[in-house]
Amino acid sequence: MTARQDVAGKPDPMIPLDDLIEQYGEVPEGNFRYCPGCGLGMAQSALMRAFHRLQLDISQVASAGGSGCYSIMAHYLKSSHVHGSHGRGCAVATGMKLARPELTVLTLQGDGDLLAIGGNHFIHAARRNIDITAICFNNFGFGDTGGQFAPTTPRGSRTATSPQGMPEDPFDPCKLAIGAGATFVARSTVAHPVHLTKTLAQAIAWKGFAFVEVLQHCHVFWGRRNGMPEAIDMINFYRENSAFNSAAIPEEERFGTPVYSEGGEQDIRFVLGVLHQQERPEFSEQYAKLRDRAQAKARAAGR
Amino acid sequence: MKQEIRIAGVGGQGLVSASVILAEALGVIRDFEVVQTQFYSSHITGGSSSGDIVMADEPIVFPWVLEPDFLIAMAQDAVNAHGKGMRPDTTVLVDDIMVDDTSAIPDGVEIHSAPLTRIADEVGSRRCANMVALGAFAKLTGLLSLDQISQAVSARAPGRAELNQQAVEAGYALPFPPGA
Amino acid sequence: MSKQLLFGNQAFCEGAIAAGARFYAGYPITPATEVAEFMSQRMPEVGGTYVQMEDELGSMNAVIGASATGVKSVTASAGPGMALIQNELGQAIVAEIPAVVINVQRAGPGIGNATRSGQMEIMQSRYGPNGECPAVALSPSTVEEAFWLTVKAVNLSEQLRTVVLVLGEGLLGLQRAVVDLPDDYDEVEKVERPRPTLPPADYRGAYAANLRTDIPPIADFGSGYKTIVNTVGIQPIGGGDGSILGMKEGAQDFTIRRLHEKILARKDEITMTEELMLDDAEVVYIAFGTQARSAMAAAAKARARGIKAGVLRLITIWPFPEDAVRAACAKARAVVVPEMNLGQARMLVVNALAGADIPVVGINHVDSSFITPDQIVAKTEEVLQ
Repeated sequence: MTARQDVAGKPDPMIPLDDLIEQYGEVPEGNFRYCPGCGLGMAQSALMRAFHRLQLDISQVASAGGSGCYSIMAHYLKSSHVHGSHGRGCAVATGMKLARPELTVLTLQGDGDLLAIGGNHFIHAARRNIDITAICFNNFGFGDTGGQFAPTTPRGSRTATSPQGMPEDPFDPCKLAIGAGATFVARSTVAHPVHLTKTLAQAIAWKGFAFVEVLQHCHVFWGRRNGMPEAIDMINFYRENSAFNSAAIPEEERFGTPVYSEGGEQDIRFVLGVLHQQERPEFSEQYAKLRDRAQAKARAAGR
Repeated sequence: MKQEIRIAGVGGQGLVSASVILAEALGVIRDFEVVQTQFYSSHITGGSSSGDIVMADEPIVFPWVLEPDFLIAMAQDAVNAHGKGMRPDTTVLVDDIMVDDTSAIPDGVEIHSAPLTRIADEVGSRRCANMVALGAFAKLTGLLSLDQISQAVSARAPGRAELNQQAVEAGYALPFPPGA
Repeated sequence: MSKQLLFGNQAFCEGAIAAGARFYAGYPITPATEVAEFMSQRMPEVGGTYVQMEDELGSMNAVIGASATGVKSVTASAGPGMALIQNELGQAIVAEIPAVVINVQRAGPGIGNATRSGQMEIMQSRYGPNGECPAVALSPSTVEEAFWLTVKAVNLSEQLRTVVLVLGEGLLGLQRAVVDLPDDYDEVEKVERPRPTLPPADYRGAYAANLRTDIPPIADFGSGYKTIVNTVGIQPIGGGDGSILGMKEGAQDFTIRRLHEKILARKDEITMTEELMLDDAEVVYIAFGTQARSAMAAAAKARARGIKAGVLRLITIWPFPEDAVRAACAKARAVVVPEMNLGQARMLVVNALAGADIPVVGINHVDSSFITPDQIVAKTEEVLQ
């Protein structure tokens, strides 16, 4: 039985933040290192609510991540974590899950970390359908280094390395995940905290490779350069440009590569919700069967 | 006692495999100290290739073949490359159709030409000429009985067992005087 | 014990398994490929895991993840693969995650010559990763030693909480030899990493060191303790999470120095050498790996010609056995260092003998041909003239 199924008590959807932090979080000496108004704090609160909703034993939760603004988040959680090299979270998590399949394994990664330098590990973890929940905090760029563009930055938008406007098209991370073989793919934003909590809980409970794109604003570096200097501007931006997935939205319209320039060309809509679900054998379970057969065969051969 | 053995030819002739089988026979079955090494060009088929063995009745310090006491040459290239360095008191076994010219080999070297490949063809596959060579080596040197070399073939080359055993037997049946 | 004909690359695998390694992540690369092939067969047989990753970076990171959960973990690579993972080696070393990396050295820079052998990564082992990383590296010279030094590597990696490199070579990985290995791996010594015995509330994380020579305990993921494996690597003195506590004065200096001093303080247990005919040696051959075999054969040949030659075989390359080098050369008139590179070990020998007036000459092959005993004897006669 996996840890996630250990129902210790009854989740309280209205649990106060202090109690959540008591159970799942750590408080730094001095200030939190999130910028004031940063979407990461909101994302962390949704993640802790998802843990609570699933009544997870936090000592059985392990995560992996690399470099980026998000990388401090794991230090503010009571779960164990590998704060590893930039982009390698999915590979580290693969090792963790295979070595100890009973753990609930997450990757906490930014969009640059997961999709630029770590893209190869991401697609192969998805292909293997290993039971990892990959959470991508998408803030449209490399925040930790001052807001350079990443593979998710809307075309046309200004960043520290696209002062004339981003000349490349971005990925739709969800579409990439589906193409690579992820068996659960969902999108949400920090501007929709109840939806985000529910989505993260669904993803963690999923047996197989689950991917959640969390649109999380960086008003400091992306917003400021694109006419949205305050956190609330970007919260409103996500709310105004999002739609919940439904049968009414044709499949091809659930994905897209945003285009955004202040006062110029804009083509942006985020379809939120579970965008893909598919049952497929999970890798660590498949490997356990292979191992049982190999051991039986070796015993029979007297090895 | 220390002996250096080289089985040389071109890639695809199974020479490294043959050297592994011989190492198994001499090392595990006959209880000698044995090191087996291999050299080949980067092409799987057609490049020059050799499987080397050092055997001794004491610990082997230097593991590589420098001056073979016994050379099995399965191709003309092998004679050209390794023949001229042979010392007078050594032995060369050459394949009679794959090697035309043994003039590179110095005088005083004992040369045996044998129809290794032709026998393999008769047994059923040219690819088991390496097994014929192993049988011939066992007979010629007297280092291994037919049973011992057959046992090593079974241990190391369990596929195509019947064909391989026939080839080894046919090699062993070549009319060399035992321990020549 | 039973005699068997063992392939060098398999000897690494069996050594790792005998020492208790149960996780292998790999990526095929000549001449280390057979390590992955044997592991894919053997790991599941012994209840372990083999995973083939998307590249060497994936392999080394999977090893870091698996080791963080408390499972002894191994990978192997060569040439460009080793170059690729220098960053990850540094990450594992600074995060103090036990791991063994087998480098079956091939020839040449870049892609080099994949099927050919070399000893060209002596300096890379120590200076490859960024930021003043310590190294522990062992260099086997026979197939049997490949087994036992891999056992030793796993044990040292656990004891020291660091990465231990096994410096194989193509000439060794692709060699077979008759060896006598234990039938029952339960009889092989196994060392476990320090794990906390304190209650979880008192655990100060995986880096709770007070002295520069401390090797603090680390809790396995899922064992009831919160462990942050931190490759940021600037850890506060006395423990706690540096990312939570903030940068403390002296933390950087303490962290970097401790990574080295925890190893150097145990140098006597780590540095291994073999001495051959050194008592009266006027000429000392200092060699390692496969080329030490040439040096040993050369010493016997030189003695037969009346030259008092001896051999110091370096089994441990890092930390470099400087004391053994000095002791071996106490009576030497000349030192010869044969190696399959352009003089990397020679440079270390010269450094160790600084102040002593002894010529140190190299024999350097970079064409992947092994150095013959005759070449060493000829060089010896040249030096003595």
